[in-house]
Amino acid sequence: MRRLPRLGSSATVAALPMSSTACLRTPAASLFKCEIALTSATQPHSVPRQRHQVWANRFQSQRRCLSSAPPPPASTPEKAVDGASDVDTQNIQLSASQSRRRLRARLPKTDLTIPRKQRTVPRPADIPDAEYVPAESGLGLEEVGGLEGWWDNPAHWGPSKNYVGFGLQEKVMDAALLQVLARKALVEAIALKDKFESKIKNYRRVDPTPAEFRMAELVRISSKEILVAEDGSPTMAQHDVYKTLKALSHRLPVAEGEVLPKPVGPEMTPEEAKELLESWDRNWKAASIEDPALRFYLVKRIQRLTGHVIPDAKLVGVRHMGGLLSVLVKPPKALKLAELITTKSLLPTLPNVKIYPRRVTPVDKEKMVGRWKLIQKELQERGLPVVGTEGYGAAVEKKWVTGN
Amino acid sequence: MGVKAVHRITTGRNGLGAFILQCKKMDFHYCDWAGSSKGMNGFIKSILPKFAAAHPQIEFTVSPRPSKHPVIIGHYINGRDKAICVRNLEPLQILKKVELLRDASGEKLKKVTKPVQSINESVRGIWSPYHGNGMRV
Repeated sequence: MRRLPRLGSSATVAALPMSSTACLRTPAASLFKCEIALTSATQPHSVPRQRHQVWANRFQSQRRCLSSAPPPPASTPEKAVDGASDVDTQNIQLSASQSRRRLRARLPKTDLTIPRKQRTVPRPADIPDAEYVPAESGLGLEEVGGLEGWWDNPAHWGPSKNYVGFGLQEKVMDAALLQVLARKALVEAIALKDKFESKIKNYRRVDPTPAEFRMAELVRISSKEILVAEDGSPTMAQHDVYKTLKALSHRLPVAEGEVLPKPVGPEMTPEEAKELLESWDRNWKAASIEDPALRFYLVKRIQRLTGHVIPDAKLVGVRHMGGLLSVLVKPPKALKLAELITTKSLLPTLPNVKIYPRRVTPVDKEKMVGRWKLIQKELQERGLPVVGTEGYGAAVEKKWVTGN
Repeated sequence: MGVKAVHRITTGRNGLGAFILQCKKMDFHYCDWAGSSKGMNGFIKSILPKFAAAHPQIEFTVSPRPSKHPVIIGHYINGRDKAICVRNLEPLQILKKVELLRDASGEKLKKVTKPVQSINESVRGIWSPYHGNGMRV
């Protein structure tokens, strides 16, 4: 919001209009004329006289009282030489093209598709064709080109502008695969804890690269032996810590501005994950994750690897890895009764039994006896809705008959 | 041309053995979500296969009816039907209801006061005051 100038003297007070709305209503041309010379304010003019001059647009000042826009150029004398004005226009055009070039040079390198330079049609006066009649209004003219909706087109946005989420976009839903990935996260967390203790800042070593979902790496890292102490704290052998840290060190932070590759899911099938899971003993699930730094890394890493965000409210009650897995791995959705009967082939083997997977509607019943097409045809002939009421209300006649 | 005997297809047993079950069809409706259908779902899974195998003359249909209590509807050869709501019932309780529907005639429930009922006309005919010798008062 533009501030109005401070009222310095009684003269300037008198020079201002009485209300702000009045000045908004004043035409811009008259506002520019409403300038008061600072020097004139110091002169012993009487207030009524100044006011009179202001209202008569004769009071000149260097101080702008209402508009921050520059004053309009003084009217060119009519006797100005035509040639000189042409030179001026050329200079202006040159400077405009230079400034455009400079602006383009200053633009940062981008993968956005920037619209081409706008071309304008020549003015009617510049067209040599004598028979050309310019249109008087734009009504009915076809609009060609234009920048409307330019940025709505996804093709005009570069790949760097695409959203790349931190977590895996497509969540891993298989229980065995989830457990393998969770164990991998735990092994990494233990290795980092062993190296950096609980300095949480140093845990930010792992950044997304597609390599971490490769089968060999998944097996290599997640199969490291986890030793659980009596108090539940998880540890690993030193050479395992070293190897894990070495694997992690390949994934140093990505350079700024580099487009991250979109992560794809793990290369392991659920059957392979199940086999791998069965090859481990269950002690690792008793590992305590009460250390906040370890827990934070684990949750962040699980989000990255599986796409599952574990809510804080559930995380509060989790003390060990098994608890975390019970939050992470949800039981499979129960089968519907119709699906269960069909999969177990309990009833469909009998010839006198029929199973419907969804509700049998009145239309279905008509179809079963072959009456539906006739009903449809008769309703359409009468202009009545085939399905639904189509805005027709309840029968009024019923009220008349029952007297309600 | 000689007279050709008609082949006997059925054995006449003087009416015995000609019984036709009145219930021709049974619909089982359940809900996958609601707790009142728990027993019905168990019945359909465990008992219905045996019951349906034991009654090949009855047509069985099983279909969901979401957000509604479980219902068994029996259809009879007289064109009538009979529905029983089996909400919150155990599978064995539901079996009793199914047997009831199977054994029902499909007629409206009537109070039976006489031990014997017949659709045959009376041998003596309907009594009329204008016929016979009349009665002296």
